[in-house]
Amino acid sequence: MSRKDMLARRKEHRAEFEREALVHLDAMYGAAYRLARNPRDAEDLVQDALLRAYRFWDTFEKDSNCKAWLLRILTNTFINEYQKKKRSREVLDAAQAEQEATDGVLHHAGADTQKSPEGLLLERSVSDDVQRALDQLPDEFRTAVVLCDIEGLSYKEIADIMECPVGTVMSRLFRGRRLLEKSLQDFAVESGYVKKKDPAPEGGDTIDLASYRARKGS
Amino acid sequence: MTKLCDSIDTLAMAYLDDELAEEELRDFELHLHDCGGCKERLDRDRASMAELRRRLAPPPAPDLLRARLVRALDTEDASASRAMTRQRVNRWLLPGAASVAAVAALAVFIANRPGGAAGALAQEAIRQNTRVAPLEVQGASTEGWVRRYAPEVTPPRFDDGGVQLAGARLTSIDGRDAAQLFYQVVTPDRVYDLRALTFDAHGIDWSGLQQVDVDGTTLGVDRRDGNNLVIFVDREGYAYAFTSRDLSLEQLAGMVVHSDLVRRVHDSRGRVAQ
Repeated sequence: MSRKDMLARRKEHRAEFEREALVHLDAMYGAAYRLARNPRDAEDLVQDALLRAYRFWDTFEKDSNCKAWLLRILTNTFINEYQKKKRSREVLDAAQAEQEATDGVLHHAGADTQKSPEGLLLERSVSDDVQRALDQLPDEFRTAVVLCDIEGLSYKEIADIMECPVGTVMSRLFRGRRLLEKSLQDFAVESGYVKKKDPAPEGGDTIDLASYRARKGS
Repeated sequence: MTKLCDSIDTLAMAYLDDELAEEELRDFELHLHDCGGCKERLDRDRASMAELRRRLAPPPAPDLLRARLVRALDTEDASASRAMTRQRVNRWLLPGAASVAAVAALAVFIANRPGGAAGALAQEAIRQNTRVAPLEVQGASTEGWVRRYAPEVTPPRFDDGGVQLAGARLTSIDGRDAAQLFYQVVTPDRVYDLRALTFDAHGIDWSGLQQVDVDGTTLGVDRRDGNNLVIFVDREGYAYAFTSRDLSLEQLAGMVVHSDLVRRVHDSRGRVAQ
């Protein structure tokens, strides 16, 4: 193949990727924003996922759902890379805290953020209750909620991404949403906005369409 | 209470997420007409889901991120293209053991500059291959021109399709007629020049020239002023002297042993059989 052909192919490859994939940037950023710890991590996550998608663009099946494919890569990148990083950072933080305790320095959590105006800008506003509530959820619940309630993916698409049965997606979604609502309610009560409400009643059945269908069929 | 009331958690959620099958949807909507409890529950769930989704809505991607991603893709393109170049040029690197032997020989060579007739010839070949000279033919008609004006020469072909015959001219070396072939080695990053001087080498004493054995093929090598020379003499006594400033001796030697020169079959008149 000549140099001209090769350059032309590369250019077409890039143009196609920008046309098909880059249009989902808001969706990718939205998921990353809600999954990652802060906006800076969210941007890094989007970049890592997008470059990975670009490298594997040849393997994307052209008539399938590009947004779901990108979110799958983003979710996997998040689980594999960012959670690992987060864990090692937590270990480091713990070691640092211990060191400082030994040194007899009183270390106030968040003091670093308060000292640095840059850090203050990069961290989310503490008043972002919904993010605080999300951060408290187990990763599986949070991912399911993000993919459904932010990205609007179907149960089946979420099941493919999370590599679990549709029934598991439904129960993660159900419980994730309930926990979120409860946290948000608690935060509101804490701040004195609202009075405590009784939790919503539950039917008490297993959250699963498949078992509903099985029962109905029997 | 009906079976549907028992499953209100599942049904309400699947209904609001638009996941019910057609028949399930019809059954559930009929049930909502009759059951005030389930209707009330669904309305409550709908309201709280709308509120949750409203609060979860993330901001759009910042413009700076978009710009940063375009730059990252540019960098990715550039490094992919560099990798391709490496891959293409390194394809001619000598295989395993031959490479080691050749490198050792080349190292010795640098210390012992060849003298005598072969050394003078090598120097002249490099000089001709590096000086600016007008082409007598270029482009697609080169092969036909060579067949006509230098019928004893069959331009070597290389395994790599990125090495293209770009032109030729007639010249002489050591009082012998010679044809000079111009090749372009095309990689995504840039184009390298490669020239080959070909001439009837009968009676030339090559013993003064450093020789290396690559995969059973003997090549003569030389290097002067940063220009590398690799000479191959075929069974008919024809010499092909390759020079390139851009390719290492190892790469040049690898290219030559991966060309059709070493595989050529000659007919009874000594012509290369096509």
